Amino acid sequence: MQSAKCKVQSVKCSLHLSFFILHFSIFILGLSACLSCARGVRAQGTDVRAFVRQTFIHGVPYEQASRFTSTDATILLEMLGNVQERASWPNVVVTLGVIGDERGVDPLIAFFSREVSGTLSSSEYSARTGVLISLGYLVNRSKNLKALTYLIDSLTPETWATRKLSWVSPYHATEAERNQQLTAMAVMGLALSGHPLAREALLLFQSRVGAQDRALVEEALRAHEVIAREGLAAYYKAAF
Amino acid sequence: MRLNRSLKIAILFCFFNAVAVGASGCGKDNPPSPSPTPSSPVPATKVHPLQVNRHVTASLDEARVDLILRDASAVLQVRDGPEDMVCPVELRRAGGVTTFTVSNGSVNSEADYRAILALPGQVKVVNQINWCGGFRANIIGCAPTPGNSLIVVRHALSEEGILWGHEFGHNRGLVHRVETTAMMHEAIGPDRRTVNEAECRAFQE
Repeated sequence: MQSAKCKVQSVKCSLHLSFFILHFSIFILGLSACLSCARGVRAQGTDVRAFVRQTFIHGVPYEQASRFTSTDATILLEMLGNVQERASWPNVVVTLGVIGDERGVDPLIAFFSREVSGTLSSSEYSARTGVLISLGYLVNRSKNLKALTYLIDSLTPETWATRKLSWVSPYHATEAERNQQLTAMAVMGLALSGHPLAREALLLFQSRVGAQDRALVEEALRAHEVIAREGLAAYYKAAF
Repeated sequence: MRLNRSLKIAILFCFFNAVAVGASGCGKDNPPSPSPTPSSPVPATKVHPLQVNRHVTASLDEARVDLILRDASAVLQVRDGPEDMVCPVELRRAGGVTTFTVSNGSVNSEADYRAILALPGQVKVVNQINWCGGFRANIIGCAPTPGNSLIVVRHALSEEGILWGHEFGHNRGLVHRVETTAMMHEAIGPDRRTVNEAECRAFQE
């Protein structure tokens, strides 16, 4: 009798144990699936801080950057003023432009001209020159005239003398060489803006540039046409 | 008997569960590739000699090139975790570092890009890249997929070998991979060093 009772208790015990193992296994399986999915979501960069702290080999991906909003622009403006975020500034600058929040115009121009002694590091140079591309993105979305005018003025060599930039490029021996590259980047910004006035400015510029810059301006006009007609997303989708 | 059967079912479930956990994902990542086991034959190391050509204003000496190529080779050859494999491929400098004067040291347009790619050598080093399939900012490398030449800018030593390996991967026909440890991920990182079996095959061809 006692032996039979013992056997029944043992069966109950084993059943409890197997149900426990079963439930534990289901829990582990679910947990694993959640972790894997979370990893995938993070990789897409939903957090703007994490996004701009990455180093994108082929430049800031426009499509991903364009998903951020004005709330994210507020965070990026804070990062632009924080020297501890210096390493992220190149991406902060570009992403701010892509978002297209007009609050970014003055801080971006101020950042571009900000006084600094000595030669810039390659990262700081990227961040500052990236402003000219960023303003193009910003105009594309907001049609901001101050940003557009800043880019159009950048096509005139005399403008650089009046702006009196204090910073030294790590790659150019003279101020004139640096300014020539800045003008080239303003050409790119105007192309990305897709704005009708940008096209006019590029056409005018084309009539007075030398052979060295002609290929750039011709390409900028082609890009402008695509961007004005189909938008930036289509322009980048067509790229390899 | 009934007791034993319940236990067996639970243990079997646990086993399959463990297998499933090991292979779980969201369907985006490629499955981890197996490394050659000690019993499988070790393939000969494929050597790719690369000639390096820098813009006259870009700073890069041969000692640094050798460091970069050694690190790029280590990225391929060393198994950096369960999702990685040993890929017997070596990138080696061919000749001295030469210089060129095409463009102003920046890739500002497709015309610059094509002119620089057409120069002698497989690796071209410039100061800034602002065109890679379109006008963009903050580009550190660009290469045709497939192709036989790549363009890079100077980068942090800890990641420069990965950068060169990544761009060389494009030349070998490889595209980006979303796996966050992959060398072919669109964003570079010191721990993004893994290659899968298909990628390794492309490097070995």
